[in-house]
Amino acid sequence: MIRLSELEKNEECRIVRIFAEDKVRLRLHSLGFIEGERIKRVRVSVLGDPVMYEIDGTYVALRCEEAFLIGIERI
Amino acid sequence: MKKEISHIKEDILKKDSVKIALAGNPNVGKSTIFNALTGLKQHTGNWTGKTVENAQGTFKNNGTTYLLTDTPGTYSLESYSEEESVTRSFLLCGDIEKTIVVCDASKLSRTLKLFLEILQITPKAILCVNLIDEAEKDGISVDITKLSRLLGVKTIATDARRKRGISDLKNALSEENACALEIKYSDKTEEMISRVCNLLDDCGVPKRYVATELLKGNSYIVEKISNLEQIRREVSDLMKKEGISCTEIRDETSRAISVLSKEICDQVIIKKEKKRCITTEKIDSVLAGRIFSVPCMLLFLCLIFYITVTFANYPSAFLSDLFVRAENFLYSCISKTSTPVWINDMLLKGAFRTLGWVVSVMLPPMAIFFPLFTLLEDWGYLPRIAFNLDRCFKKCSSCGKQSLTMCMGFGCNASGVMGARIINTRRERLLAIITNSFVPCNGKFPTMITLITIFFVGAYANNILVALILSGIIIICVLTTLLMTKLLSLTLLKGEKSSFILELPPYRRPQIGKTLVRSLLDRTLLVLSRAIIVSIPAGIIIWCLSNIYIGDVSVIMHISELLDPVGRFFGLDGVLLLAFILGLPANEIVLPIALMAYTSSSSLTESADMLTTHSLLVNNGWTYVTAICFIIFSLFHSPCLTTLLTVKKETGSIRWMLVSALLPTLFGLTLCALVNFIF
Repeated sequence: MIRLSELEKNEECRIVRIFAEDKVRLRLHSLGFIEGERIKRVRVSVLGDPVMYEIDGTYVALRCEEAFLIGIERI
Repeated sequence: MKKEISHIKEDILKKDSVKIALAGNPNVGKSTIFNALTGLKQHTGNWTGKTVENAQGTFKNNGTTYLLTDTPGTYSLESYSEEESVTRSFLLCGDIEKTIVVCDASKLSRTLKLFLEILQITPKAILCVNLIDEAEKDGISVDITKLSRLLGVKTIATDARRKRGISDLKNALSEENACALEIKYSDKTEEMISRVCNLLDDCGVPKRYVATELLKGNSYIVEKISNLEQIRREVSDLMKKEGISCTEIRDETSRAISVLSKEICDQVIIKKEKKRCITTEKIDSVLAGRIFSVPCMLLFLCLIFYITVTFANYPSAFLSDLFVRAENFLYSCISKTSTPVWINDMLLKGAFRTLGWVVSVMLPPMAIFFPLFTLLEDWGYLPRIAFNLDRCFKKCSSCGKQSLTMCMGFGCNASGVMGARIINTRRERLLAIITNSFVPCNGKFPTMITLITIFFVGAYANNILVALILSGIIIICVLTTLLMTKLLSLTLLKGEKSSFILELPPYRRPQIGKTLVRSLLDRTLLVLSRAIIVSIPAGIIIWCLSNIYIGDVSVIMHISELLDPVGRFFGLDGVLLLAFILGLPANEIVLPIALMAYTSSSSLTESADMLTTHSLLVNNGWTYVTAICFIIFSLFHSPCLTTLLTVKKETGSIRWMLVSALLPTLFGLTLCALVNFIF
């Protein structure tokens, strides 16, 4: 298992585990970050952080701190 | 007789109109639905006990009057942000007959989750599958009849922009329906839920929901429970015995909702062909990309200011002409009555003239700026600004959403302060609120443009050069805002930075006509009405000061003489310092007050043209240093009274209001003193 923050551009993967706690965990859940979901890294912001991901048909931006809290496996 | 009865009936109906709520995820076109249902019969109101303002509107269908209350867009009913808890408590405690939940047809599986959550609270819900046109474009079609059958609720497909399905939605409100869809959890959890259910008394909310929330460890539900202590003990015993934590229950419930939502969607969604939304991706590769994002942001900024500055002149001139005529007319009317002359003068040359000044200077730029801003908002560009700039704000232990409140601050700081509600944590919200006045609002631009033109460009210069210098000044202001945010987060507002999780909605063609009307009604008029409230008393005070004489000299001159040494120290003079103090209610009148004092006239006077203003200022000892200091101080001084009152309302504390007044003032004074000392 690697972390979402290690994903390369345009790479697709599957979420294995959410390490975030409390509120961040809730928000990630409600935005579709759930174990088994596919996620793709789309684009990095001009200043290198945050990164835009495609999940469940929408784009969501996460800072690298939050992306680090998501465990993934490459497909 | 019959007619009378029907009238009475109508009145009764109006009194007990059917209360319905509107809920939905952000970016699903909830407000378009709201507007399509209610038209212009809207007003904002407060929920009892809450400070969050929400829109309410009424509409009639088949003889029934409905009172529709909009709730803030939320992803779920869990307590991540204030909006979510507000929506939840509104649905829980409000005496709502029906709830309309809006979903996005093209992203049904994720937007349906909120609906499933709401069903746990109230079975009387109607599902509105919006943006059906957008889904069709993506090659997605939704089997509405099947969806309705699966959920057991009335389901309506709408395209609110073209008003498709709106009448169906209205008709659906009068139909009886109650859904019995239950989310099934694992056997173990189900058993725990039913055990807690048995302990609970009837409390107006479905027991199953209360039980689940208690097991999840959520405490907002407790006020509904009579025998709380006992139940809490039982719940924690139960969880210990079963060896399950609150987090596990939470995970299970949110996974169960996702799975159910996916299952339902798999059955009702027919994908014709796998077409991907190319437009948004293409636009994003430019506007949020590595090369063009910053130049595009600057371009938009320049363009908005250029349009505002250029096109505001004409209506401004027209309005001020109108006010002069109205003043003359009123004066001739009022002088026929027996009121003393000084009262006539105070009311018309004081209060009315100041009011006219503020309105004619402030209204046109606002009426241009806010619609432009709303167009960008509707298009979907604003979250991209937050995405592009978040790193800067992260370095200052703040949040990228602050950039949006700053953008609003360019229109009006009071709006910017109110806009800070989109920020989730209190610390970061305070940072955004206090530093908001470091970005110059529309009220400061006329003064700035006059000074830039007469001192640095020349009276006959083109607007483009002025707009460029203005943009430069704005960039300096933005950098200062960042600096101040950092400073505050190191001192008064220490704390960990929170998370940044932001959905970037697809670009959508803005509805130009509606945007113009709504932003004019909502933002411009709101801000304007507040400005009017403060400018009338200010006008009276200014008039009194300049018309009450001690010896041969008016009070205003006495005070400015007293202030003169202080003013000189900061590169200004006494008159200017006093003008800033008197101009506290509205930034627009600072320069007019100064001109009034310089010419020793007794009321605000319009300067004939730029050249006259220039020579008047130079004759009163102005140099380039004075001009620079004046620009600096007009950028960085206490925000206007309206903004300060908004800060007090939003933060609920006088202390933060004082901080947001003193911080920019001290910063501006220090900078002025430095500039004056160096040159």
